[in-house]
Amino acid sequence: MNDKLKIIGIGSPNGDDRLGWTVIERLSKRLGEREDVEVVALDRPGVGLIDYLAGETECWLVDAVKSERKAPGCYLQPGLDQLLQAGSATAGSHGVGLAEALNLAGTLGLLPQRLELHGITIGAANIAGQDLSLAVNAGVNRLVERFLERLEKNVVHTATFNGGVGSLGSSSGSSE
Amino acid sequence: MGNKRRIRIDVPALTRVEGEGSLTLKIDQGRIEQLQLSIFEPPRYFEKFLEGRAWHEVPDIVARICGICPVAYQMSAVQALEMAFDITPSDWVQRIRRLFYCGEWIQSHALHIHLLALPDYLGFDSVIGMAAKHPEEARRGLALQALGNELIRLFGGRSVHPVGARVGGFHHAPDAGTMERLHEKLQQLKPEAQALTDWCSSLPMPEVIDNFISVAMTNATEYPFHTGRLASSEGLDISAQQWEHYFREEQAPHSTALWSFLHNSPYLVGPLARLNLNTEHLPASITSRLKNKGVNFPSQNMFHSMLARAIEIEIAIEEALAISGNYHLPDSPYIEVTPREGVGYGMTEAPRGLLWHRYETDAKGLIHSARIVPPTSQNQARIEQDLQHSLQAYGLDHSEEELRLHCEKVIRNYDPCISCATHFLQLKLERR
Repeated sequence: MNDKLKIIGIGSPNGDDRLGWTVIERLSKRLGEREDVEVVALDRPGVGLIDYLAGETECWLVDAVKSERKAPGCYLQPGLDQLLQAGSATAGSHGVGLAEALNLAGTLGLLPQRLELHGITIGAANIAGQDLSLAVNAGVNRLVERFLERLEKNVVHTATFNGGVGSLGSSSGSSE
Repeated sequence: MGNKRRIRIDVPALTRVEGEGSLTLKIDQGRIEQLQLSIFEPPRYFEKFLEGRAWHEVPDIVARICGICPVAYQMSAVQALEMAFDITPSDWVQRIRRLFYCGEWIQSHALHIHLLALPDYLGFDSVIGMAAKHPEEARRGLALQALGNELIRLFGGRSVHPVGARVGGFHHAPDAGTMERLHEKLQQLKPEAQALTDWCSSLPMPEVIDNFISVAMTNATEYPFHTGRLASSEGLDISAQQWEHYFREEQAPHSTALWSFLHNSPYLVGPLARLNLNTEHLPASITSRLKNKGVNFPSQNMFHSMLARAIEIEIAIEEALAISGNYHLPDSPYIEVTPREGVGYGMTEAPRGLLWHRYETDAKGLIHSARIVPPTSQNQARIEQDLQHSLQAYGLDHSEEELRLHCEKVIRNYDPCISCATHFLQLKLERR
């Protein structure tokens, strides 16, 4: 069992969907040599995510959440029910989303003892290119500050995700 | 159920395959009136993207064609460009390319067996349901896939769209200690791969014998990954340069992927074809265990494809153990490249079968033209041929749901990667 906190940012190179990577990049610069926190950026890992979760004590997962109702850049902490409602969109191994991977990990008892999901909403406007939209960029900065504040206070655990199902979409992002 | 019905089955989106495709099946008076496998993913134009790009950009661009088999695209590309520039990579590079490729076979085959194919044979809709009943097997599959990914990361920097390969070799050589740790992990998982083969060989499979042509690379001294000649079960024996003289691609109206024929006939590429043409390189330990289970290769039963993948995981682990056990750090992991005007051909065995590349370069090494023939497009005509035969053997009077499942099982035997082929399944069944 690894006692470090592992923060995983999931993303793709596609516009705002890269926000998970950006969170990790900015956190990494701010955390310095802190040894009790490990940060990892992953490109649409599919079931490969399980390998990064198994054996961990605590993980925070950051991913984009596609939303038609909320403006881009809003913070969400999707729960099990939301993931369930998002439905399974698995069409192939390319389409194994975060929810399926977490569900499989949960079924196999491979989830960390504590797991949090942190989402930032994205829209349909910025789905290509290498830059975040202004709203999502601001949302990323707010989440980074929130993480740093918790880490500074050593308030690591606020919510527990016990595994579940749902789809986070064909890209790395979730639907909400 | 009488055979007078007219039935039309539409599978509008094939599941547990890579990419977007569909199947239309019309049955009239107990006969198949129409059977059409459609690939409707839009063309991806990678060959055109490559035109005008520099030679050194090619490995990273072609790696983007597929998230599951990027190593294959890189290996065929570097081979072709090395031929165009008349350079021969070192023996170290050739062995490490084989090791790199082992990683891709292990992860791709483990993923296909456990996530895509096994649920069919165990009666589950998905790996989630299967994992609840067969947790140890599912964990084993994930562990094997992770091993393959780790191997790819070692040389590629990352397991998805790796960036470590270059024309002439690799950008980076891992140190001996890292390789020792990998070697130990390979040893730990070797029994798991053996158990997987034994489990797959025990599963009841449909007995459908079909007269298909196998096409795969062969090699006098070893199981083929990235070196050798191209052979068929009908006596073909050619080099990569000769591919265009024997194989023909054509556009089918219902597919965005080109269809491929050998002497005007559909043919099979992939693990079963490879095994059929390379049985002499099967380790004796595997052959004897298969014999005890009553399974023999060569096999003309496409339902032996999943077992062939399990066997190839074992082969890849054996190969990786041998190479990693004799690893040494080279003076340089690559040789310098001087581009020139030329034409080069590359062929290697992707997890799903033969992957052929051709590049024409100018004096500066810019890509003048590119041609990429992926395995799934080569298998398309064969899949339709197989469905015709397999459905007749299965019986057309089964229910729509049974026919649909059977069609999907047949198609998944090929582990089609439609995204690569785009060059895949909704089933449309119409029975009259």
